[in-house]
Amino acid sequence: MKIKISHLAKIEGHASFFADMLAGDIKNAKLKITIGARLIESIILNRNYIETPIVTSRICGICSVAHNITSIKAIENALKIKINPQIERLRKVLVLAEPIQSHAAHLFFLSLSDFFKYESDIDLMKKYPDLAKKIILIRDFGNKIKDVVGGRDMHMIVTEIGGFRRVLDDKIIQKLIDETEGVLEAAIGVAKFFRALDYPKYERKVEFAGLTAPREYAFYDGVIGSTMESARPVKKFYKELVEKQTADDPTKRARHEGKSFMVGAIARLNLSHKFLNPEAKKFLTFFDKSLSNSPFGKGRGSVLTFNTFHNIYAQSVELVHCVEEAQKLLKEYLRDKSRNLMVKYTLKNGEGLGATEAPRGTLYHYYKIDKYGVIRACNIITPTAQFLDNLENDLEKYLNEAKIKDEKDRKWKINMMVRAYDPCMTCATH
Amino acid sequence: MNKPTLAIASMTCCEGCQVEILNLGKRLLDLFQVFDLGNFSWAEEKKERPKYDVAVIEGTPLTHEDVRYLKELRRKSKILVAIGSCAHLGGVQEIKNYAEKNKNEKVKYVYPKYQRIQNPTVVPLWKVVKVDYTVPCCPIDKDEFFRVISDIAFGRAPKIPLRPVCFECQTSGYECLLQKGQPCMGPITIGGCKAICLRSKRFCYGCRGPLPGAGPQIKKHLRNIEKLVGKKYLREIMETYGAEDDFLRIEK
Repeated sequence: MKIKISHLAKIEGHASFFADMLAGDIKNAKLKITIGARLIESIILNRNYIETPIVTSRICGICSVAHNITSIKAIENALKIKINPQIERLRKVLVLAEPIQSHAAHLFFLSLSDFFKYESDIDLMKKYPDLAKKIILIRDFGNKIKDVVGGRDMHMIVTEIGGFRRVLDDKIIQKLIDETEGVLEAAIGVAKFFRALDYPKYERKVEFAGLTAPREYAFYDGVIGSTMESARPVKKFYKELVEKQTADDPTKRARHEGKSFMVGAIARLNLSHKFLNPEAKKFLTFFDKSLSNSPFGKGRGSVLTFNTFHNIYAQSVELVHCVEEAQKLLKEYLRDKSRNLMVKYTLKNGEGLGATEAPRGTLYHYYKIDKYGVIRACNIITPTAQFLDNLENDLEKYLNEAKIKDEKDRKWKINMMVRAYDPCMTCATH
Repeated sequence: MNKPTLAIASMTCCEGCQVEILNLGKRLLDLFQVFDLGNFSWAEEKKERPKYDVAVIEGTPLTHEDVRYLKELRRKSKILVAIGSCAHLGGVQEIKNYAEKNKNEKVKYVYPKYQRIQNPTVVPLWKVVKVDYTVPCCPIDKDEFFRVISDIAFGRAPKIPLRPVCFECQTSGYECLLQKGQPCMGPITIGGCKAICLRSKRFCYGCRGPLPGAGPQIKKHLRNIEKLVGKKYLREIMETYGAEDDFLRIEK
């Protein structure tokens, strides 16, 4: 028997689910993405490098900052440009604005209804007006950071290779800082709400990977940490990734040394939880219970959870952390009196790789550039392209283990698992 | 009285214009008061309706399914609104049309088994179906979108004032980048974006498309910019959001 759900609802982009059912067992769970190929990696070739981050930003309207900044970082690496600490601070704030905006939207608009079986979010808004208000406040704050620091709430304008195109008035930054207290309070409220939810019981031992840094919960830069192996430089991990075109959709799935693995909020939390800011750290007690009940309980090192549904909770913890971190960075920016936000550089032949943590996981951009500033090679590996295989494996295991009442219940469970991953199909295709 | 039905749909694109609609925040709720929302992937499970009063569509039709659905939406909607540079001009993906020297060159670079990939010429919506109104820009300006959709809701024909990007740039007191020798497309591009790029000292790439009726000015301006930066870079600028064919068509 074939199982098919065309048009999975409430995910970013279009996708369908397919599987075979043999003697009650689910086999060959597949997600087929039904978005066209825009060929972003090849259309930027043989053109001027300044437009590259403008075009790659358009890979995705939800994680446009991640694409824009990763693109800029990779080109800077190719040209051996070293930015100053002030530029880095503002870029970090921008990169944090994205999970703030994206997680808030995903938590409320896409994921929450799965826990209550509401069909419409408008009903959800009526039922939880207070939560809705908090979510809107948090999202607006993420968008405001992008607007103020990046020039617009989407598709950054001020960001540039070498720094920023203009310097902001300190008063505007101070206004942002003034808002952070209220937003932090709202984020804590949201995280409390998601702490109280009843997550499906499910576990599978997989590799979690993502950027890690010696003293911080990494989003902007670092080395690739893994829960299975020792940390390694971005370049080394990138070379261990193998992209493979699928048979029936326009994605190229990436595997790490032949195996599926997991990236995103749950991976970052498993890898970097000891560097969470104070308020966010308080939310780790949630895992005490799940740790003691887990079959993987012993010898799991620092891994908090193998339950992919906890990706949703991890996002809410990151909301709190990111607001705290943005506040800290903006204050540091004001304390440092330097306002030089553009470094000088010269064009030369080179190649460069850049990685940042997009809301959904590690994003890689690679370019080759010549001394005239013309892009000669490009490769982009998105978070969703990295975790789609893992999602299919999870779906298979979960559907075989879970008690399924009827067709409707199965459909609901499939949707809920897919949404817990928060996949971004436009990124996966690009 | 029944509320008019509204579809918000995506062809292939970054889906950022839909996110901008979501970014309307409280005003989005006002929109739901006026319209019966038939299809908005962010808000609820997809429920396709037999008819729509208004269909708002972002993106470019790049797959057979995109084209089929676009035609279906046209058939069952009274008013079709194209939003964003993709739907209006072709968007960044239209660079392929201009940049490809040999057939399938671009798709071969990305996909080893390129025959499996649907790889049509990239076109904006109006080349496939009749478009009633357009909200330009990459991404759309949410205030402008709200104005247009409100006009439609109250039975008025929405209008975008016929003035160039320079109008808002200069009334906002931004520095003129053209005078600084940069290849700004502001004078020949239709305004309404609040000159948002100029606010951040980035010259205009013409993502809102050519200013209607400005044929002679466009011709002259393009010649001047060509002198400034050369033909290759001028083309790259216009192609960035897929506007080159649109500028050149009006110039003639």
